[in-house]
Amino acid sequence: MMRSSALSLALSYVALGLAALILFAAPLWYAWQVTIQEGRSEILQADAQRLTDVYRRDGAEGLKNFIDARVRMQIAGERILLLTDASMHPLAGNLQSWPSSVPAAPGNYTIHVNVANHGEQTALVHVAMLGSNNLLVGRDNLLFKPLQTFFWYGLTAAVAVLCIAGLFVGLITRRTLMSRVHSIRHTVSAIIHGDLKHRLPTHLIDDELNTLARTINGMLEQIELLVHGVRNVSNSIAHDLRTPLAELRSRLEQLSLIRPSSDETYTEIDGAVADVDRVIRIFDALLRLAEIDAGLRRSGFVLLDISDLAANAVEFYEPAAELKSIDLKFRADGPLWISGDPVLLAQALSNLIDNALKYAPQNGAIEVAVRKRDAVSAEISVSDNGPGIDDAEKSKVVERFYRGDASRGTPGVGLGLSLVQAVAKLHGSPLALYDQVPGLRVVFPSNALDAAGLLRTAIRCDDPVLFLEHKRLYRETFGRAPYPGPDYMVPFGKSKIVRPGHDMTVVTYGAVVPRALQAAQRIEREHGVSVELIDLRTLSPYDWEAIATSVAKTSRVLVAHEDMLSWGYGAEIAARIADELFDELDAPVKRVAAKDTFVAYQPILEDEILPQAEDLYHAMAELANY
Amino acid sequence: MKILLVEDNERVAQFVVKGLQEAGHTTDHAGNGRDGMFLAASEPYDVIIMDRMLPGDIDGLAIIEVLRKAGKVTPILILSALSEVDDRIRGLRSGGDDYLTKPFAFGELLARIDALHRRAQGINHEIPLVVGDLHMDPLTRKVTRGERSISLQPREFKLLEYLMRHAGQVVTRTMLLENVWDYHFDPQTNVVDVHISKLRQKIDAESERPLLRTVRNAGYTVTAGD
Repeated sequence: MMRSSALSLALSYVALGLAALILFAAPLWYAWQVTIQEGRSEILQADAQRLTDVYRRDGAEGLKNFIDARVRMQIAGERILLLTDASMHPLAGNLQSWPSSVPAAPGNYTIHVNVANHGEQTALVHVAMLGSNNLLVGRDNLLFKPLQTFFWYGLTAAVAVLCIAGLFVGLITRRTLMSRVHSIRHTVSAIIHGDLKHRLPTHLIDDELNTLARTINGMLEQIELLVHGVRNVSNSIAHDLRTPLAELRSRLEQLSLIRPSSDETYTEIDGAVADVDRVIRIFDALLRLAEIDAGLRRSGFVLLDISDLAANAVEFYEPAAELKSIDLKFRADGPLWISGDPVLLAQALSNLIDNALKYAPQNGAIEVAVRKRDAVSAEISVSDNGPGIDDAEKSKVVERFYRGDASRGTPGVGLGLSLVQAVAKLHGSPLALYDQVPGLRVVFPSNALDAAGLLRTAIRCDDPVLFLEHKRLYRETFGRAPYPGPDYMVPFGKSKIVRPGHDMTVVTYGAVVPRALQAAQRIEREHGVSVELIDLRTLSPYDWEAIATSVAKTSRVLVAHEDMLSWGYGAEIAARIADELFDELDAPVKRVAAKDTFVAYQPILEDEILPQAEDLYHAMAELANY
Repeated sequence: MKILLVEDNERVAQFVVKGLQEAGHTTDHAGNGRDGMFLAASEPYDVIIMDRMLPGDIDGLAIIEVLRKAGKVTPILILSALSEVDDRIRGLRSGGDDYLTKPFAFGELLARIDALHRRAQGINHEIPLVVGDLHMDPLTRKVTRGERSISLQPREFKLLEYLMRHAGQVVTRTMLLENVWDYHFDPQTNVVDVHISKLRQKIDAESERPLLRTVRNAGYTVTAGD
C-alpha cells in the first residue's frame, strides 16, 4: 500500500485526541480521588467522634447498644463498625473479628474485609482508642464504585469512538483524495503525452486541491497559448520566409546560370539585396514580437507624455498624408503622463497610422486622438475612412502573418497589427478594432433560427442594434428549428434566399416571409411562375448585392412588407432598384404593403389592413402578366 | 581615417576591411579580444569597430569598459547580432558611441563611422553652418540660401541641421530616424523620403544648384561640391 498522507494525518489526529483525553482525564481522576479520600476520612472522623461522644455519655455498654442498633438498622453494608475489648474480642459491630492488617493504634487504614451478609469489601477504616476498648469505624469504597465504573466506561467509549471515527474519516478522506489525485494524474499524463487541451477536473467547492487545480489550469491555459503562439510563429516563419528566400535563390541561380551583361547583373544583385532586406525585416519584426511577448521589455518603461509621443508620430506622417491629400488630424486633451515604453509605443502608433494611410482613400481623412481614461491610463485611437475590416476578419488581422484580402498587393508582411496588439498587451491594455461606419443596425428575423443567429451577432457587435421581432411569428410553426449550437451566428447585412426562382424576385422580411412563401408556392402550382423569395433579415445595412443579383436574373421585382405603403421601408428599395437596375427591369417595381393607416384592434380589420398571402398572390400574378 | 576592427568572423572581417580600404580608410584587424584590447590601448585610432560577441574570455563590452576606464575616448561603434533594444542600451551604457546590428548594409557602416568621427571632433552649437551658399544659424534658427530666406518648421530645421552637420557625408535613413525623430525602429515606409523631398523643395528652388542629394542605395547627403 502506498503511504497515504490522509491516513497518517487521521492517525496522528487520533493520537492527538487521545493525548488530549488523557491530559483531561488524568488530573480529573487524581483530583477526584484526593477529594473522595479526604471527604471520606473526614466523615469517618465525624463518625468516630459521634461514637466517642456516645461512649463518654453512656459508657462502653451504651456504645455497644448504640452500635448494635446501628448495625441492625443498616440496610446496606456500606458502614463498618466494630467495638472490641482490650483483648481485641468483638463486643459489637458487623465484623467477625478485628482485621489482622489493622494495628490497634489510632489512624486511617485501607483494608479488605468480609462484612457479614455483604461479602468482600475494600474499606477505609478509622481506629480510635476508647479507654480499654478499641473502636473501628469504616466505610467501604463501594459507594463510589459505580461512579468510578462509569468514569472508566465513559473514558473507554470516548477512546473507542475517537479511534474508530479517526480511522474511518482517515480512510474516507484517503479514498476521495486518492480518486481526485488519480484523476489529476490521469489528466497530467495525457498532458505529458502532448495533448495540452486537457484540463484538471475542478469542483464547485473551492478547497485546497481545487484551488491548486484551478491554478494549474490557468498555467496550462498560458502554456497552451504560448505553445500555440510558437507553433504559429514557426509555421508562419516557414511559410513567409520561404517565399522571399525562394525568390532570392532563384534570382541568384538564374544569375549564375545565364551570366547576363554586367548592367543586368547589377540590377539583379540589387534585387537580391532587397530580398535579403525583406527577410531581415521579417526577422526583426518577429524578434521584436518575441521580445514583447516574453514581457522582457518592461525594463524600458518610463514616465512619458503620450500626447506628445502621438503628436510626434502624427507630425512624422504628415508629409506622407499630404502626398495622398489625406487630412491627418490630431486631437489630445493636453499632456497625459503614463508609464510606458517610448520606443514600442511609437512603433505601435506608427504602424497604426501607416496602416490608416495605406487604406484610407485619396482625399480621405485620418484622425489620431489621445484621451484620458483615468488617472494613470490613456486611450489612443487611430481612425480612418478606408474600407474597414470585416467582422469575420477582425480577430484574424492581429494574427501573425495574416494579410486580409484588401492588403494583397500592398507592401507589408502581416505583422503590423500583431505588434500593435502585443505592445498594447504589454501596457496592460487591449487592442480594440471598431467599425468607423457609424451605426445603428436594424434587424428583423422571420424565423427562430435567424433570430438566434442575429441575436448572437447583435450581442457580439459593438454597435447599437435595433432588434425587431414580430409578435405574430412567435406562434408560427413556420419558424421552428432545432437549436443550432452556442456559436451559431448570422452576419448582419446578409439576406437569405428562402426559395430560388427565375421569373420574379420578391424582396421582403419578417412576418411577410411565410405569407410570401405561401403565395409563391401557390402561383407556381397554378401558373408555373417561379418566384425567388429573398428574406432581407437585416434592414440596415441591407443586402443590396443579393437584390441586384436576383433582379438581374428575374427582371421583375416585388417589394413586400407590413410597413405602410407610403414612405414605408420598401419605398427606398423600390426607388433604388428603379434607379440603379432600370436596364434590368421588364416591369415596374411593385410594392405590397399595409394600408396607410394604423393597424386596427380587431381581427378582421387587422387582416384587411395588413398584406395577406392572397394580396401577395394577386400582386405576383399581376407582375407576372405585365 | 585609421580604423581598428575587432571581429572574430574571418569572412565578415575580410569584407569590412576591404570595404573600408576602398573607402580610403586604413584598417587594422584583430581576430580576438586580447589582440583587440592590445591594439586599441596602444595605437591611436580615429574609430574602433567592435564586435560584441568575441570568442574566449573577453567580450566586446568588457574591452570597451576597460578602455573607457583607462581614459580612452576613441569613438567606438558596436557591431552585434543582438538586436533587442535592451541589448542596444546595454551596449551604449558600457561606453559604446553607436550600435549597429548585423546584418547591416555597408553604406550604413561607412556613414556611421563618418558621423562618429565628425562627432568626436566636437560640435559647436554656436557656429553657423555653411554649405555652399546655404547658411544656417543654430542660435537664431535662421536659414538662408544666398539672398533668399527660408522658413522651416522645427522638425525640418532639425533635419537640415543634422544633414548640414554631416555635410559631405552620406547620411542613411536609419541615422535620420534615430537622430532627428529618435525612432529606433523601421517604419517600413518611405516617410523619410517624403520629409526629405519637402525639405528639398524649400532649400533647392528650381533655378539653384541642388545641395541636398540622394545617394542611391545608401541615403542622402548635403554637399556643395560635385
